[in-house]
Amino acid sequence: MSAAQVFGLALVALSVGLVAMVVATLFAKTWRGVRARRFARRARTVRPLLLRALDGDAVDLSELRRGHGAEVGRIVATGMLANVRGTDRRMLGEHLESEGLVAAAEADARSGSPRRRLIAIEFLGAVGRPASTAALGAALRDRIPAVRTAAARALGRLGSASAVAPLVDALAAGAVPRSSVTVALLRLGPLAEEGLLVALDHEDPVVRSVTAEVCGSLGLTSARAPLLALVRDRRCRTSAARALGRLGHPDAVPLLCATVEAELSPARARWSDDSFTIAAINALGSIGDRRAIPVYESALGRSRLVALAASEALRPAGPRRSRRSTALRSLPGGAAGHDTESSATDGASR
Amino acid sequence: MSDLLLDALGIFDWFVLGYFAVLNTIMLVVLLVAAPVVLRSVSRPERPNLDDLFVNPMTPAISVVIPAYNEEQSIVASTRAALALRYPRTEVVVVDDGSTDATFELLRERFDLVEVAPDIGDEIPTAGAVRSLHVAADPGVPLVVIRKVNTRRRADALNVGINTARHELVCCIDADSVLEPDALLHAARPFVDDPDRVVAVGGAIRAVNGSIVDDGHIRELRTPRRWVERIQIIEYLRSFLLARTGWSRLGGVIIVSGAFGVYRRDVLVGVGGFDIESLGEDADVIVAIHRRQRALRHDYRVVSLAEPVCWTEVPSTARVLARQRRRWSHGLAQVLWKQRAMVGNPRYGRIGVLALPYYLVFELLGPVVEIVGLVAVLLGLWLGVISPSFAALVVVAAFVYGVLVSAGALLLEEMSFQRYRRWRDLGALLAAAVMENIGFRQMHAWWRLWGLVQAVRGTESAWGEMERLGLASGGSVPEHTP
Repeated sequence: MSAAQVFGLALVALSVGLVAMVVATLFAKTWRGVRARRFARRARTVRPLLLRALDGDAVDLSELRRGHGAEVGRIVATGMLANVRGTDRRMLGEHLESEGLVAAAEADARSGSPRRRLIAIEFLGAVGRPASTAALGAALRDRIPAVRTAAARALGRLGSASAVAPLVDALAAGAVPRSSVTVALLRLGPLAEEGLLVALDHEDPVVRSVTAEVCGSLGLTSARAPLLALVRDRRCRTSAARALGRLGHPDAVPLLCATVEAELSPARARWSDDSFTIAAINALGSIGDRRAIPVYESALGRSRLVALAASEALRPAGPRRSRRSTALRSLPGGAAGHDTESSATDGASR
Repeated sequence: MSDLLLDALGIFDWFVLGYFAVLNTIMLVVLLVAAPVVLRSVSRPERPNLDDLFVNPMTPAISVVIPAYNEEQSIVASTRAALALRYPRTEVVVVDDGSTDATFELLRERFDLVEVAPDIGDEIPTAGAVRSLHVAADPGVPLVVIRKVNTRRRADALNVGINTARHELVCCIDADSVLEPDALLHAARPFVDDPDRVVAVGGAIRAVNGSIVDDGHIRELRTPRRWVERIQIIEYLRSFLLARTGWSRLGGVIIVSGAFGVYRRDVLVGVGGFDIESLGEDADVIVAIHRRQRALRHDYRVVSLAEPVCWTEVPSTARVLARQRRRWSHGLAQVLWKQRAMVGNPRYGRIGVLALPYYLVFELLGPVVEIVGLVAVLLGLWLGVISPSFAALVVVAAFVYGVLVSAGALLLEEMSFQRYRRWRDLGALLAAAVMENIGFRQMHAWWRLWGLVQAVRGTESAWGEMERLGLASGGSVPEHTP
């Protein structure tokens, strides 16, 4: 093949590619506008129907069960349900269920279209019917990551303890981002207690860590004993320490003090885990037990961030704080921690 | 002219053709790798996912470090915007790097700063002495301002900021960066979802010139009127939306932009912070992190986000742009020379075998090939060594193919983030994708070549003053530099 022929072919191929890119770009922009206008037109007819349903009127919503009407209806309803509370929310949800929209959405959660599955799942989460747990649990195994994430979020809104197990399994499988599972478990609240206590003993350290954080945030005092056990697990102890701090029970003080002292010992200087030490000191500070004061004082002489945490933990210790703690005012933790009294004093004394 | 020279010229012309074909093919492959990542990142539940991050107790706290030198036009707006970022726990550390204008005075007045004892950590050695440390009188404002002696190195100011930072993550931004309100949430997500491995996250940077910016927030995104600015928008799209996202997917990120990067503080301290001798400190620190993590046999990741999280004012004149590009090229040369043991070394995985050789051959030495290649092709054509068809083929490989890749970046932007709403903006950017390859590309190659020469000579390449148009006040960025 001659250079001229190769040139000709290359020019044609690239030009076709270039024209195709430009056309695709223009089409994408145009289509986006068309779709937005189409949605807005449909939403203008759907919204009043849903508002009437919210008012308790008997409204025929059959057109929202299928096709484009279903998509628009679900998106509008999802937004509306997020903005109502209490009886209004319950009534709207019941009406949507009685009109068959929930069943239609559960069917569409298995649709061949990822977008349709996504919208259906978000709708089911917004309606919040515990009966949708099975459909959403299945969606945690979807091949599309965004659908799995939406399913996790939706499960957190169902208010059903049976959602814990599938969420934990998805977390262990790495199928859903940790943040989505964590918040879903938090949203389930105390309902999730039993499942969470079981998960604290899960073989996967990621599950144990996330569950520990959730137990602490939910204030589940029944988790105290397993959390104390997790403090001895190097892979989860930072989360366990934070959780114990949130629970605030003084039972945790001796073990936390002992583990911090072990981390601060010269033997562990090379391998000390500052993130755990800081978490444990913060936890002790939250608990506010004076038995921890010697630990804080030992920590003052360590790395800067550990010393910062110790100085902040010492601040609420009151008038009987040790003499060494008065030196804390010159530490960045005293200053950058916005202790303005000491800041002003330091400024005046310069 | 002897036959030998003519033959050599002919062979070199073939090499130039192959070079452009390979370069643009690599970019096309990167586009194809980046496209699914970008499209996935804009899936429907994006906003709720950020809400989840906000309420998640495991979302780590971030210290935002802002080095500032003579930034009186934008520092208050930038600081206020940084304090207003949507994130559960932050602090803002502004390092006034010996400003000679009213940078510090404006901060003191606006935030009611009080001086406190300047007790700052020394984990990272720093050069410029710290003169004073200030905090906001209102304890509800997590702001620290440090005044230090200027050493003409941004890296030194960053290191002082890192030493002062108290949180486990550190976000380093420029004083004139305009951040998206959810920028920190976007950047924190990889750390939350993969806390054991992610050590650094880079945000996608976009050009804000021509847009309406009000008090540190973008009100309306528009393309600027100057071609030099429009072309840079295309460059940034290609660089961040395509190249870095693609490299991130391949595990080959070697640069996290200094305009916006989030790092694990302990990892930064572990590599000794930013190198104050380097002009490319943003690339230098990432390559150093790669080296150290490999040496420690850690399983780690450096991530580059596709989401535009940071908007920056790009040079609006060729003069300032030339200085910037010379410095970038000089900095890249320094980094590659410093870490030359990693280049082509399989011990460093894809960084050593793919990423660093790519940057050496196509980014650093690319201008040499482009300029010498252009001369060689013209000479070959004149001497009859190559046919007009062949010369046209080189043009196609270099320019038409290049326009195709740029158009691909624009298509990806239109299918994903859709930040430019007006049709005229899309038209301007399409035209810029073509114009970039006529004149600008050659000038750019010349500037980069000069930066490489400076690096080889060991010439000091100064930062110089960036002509700021000022984005803090209401209204659009003015058309002409005052």
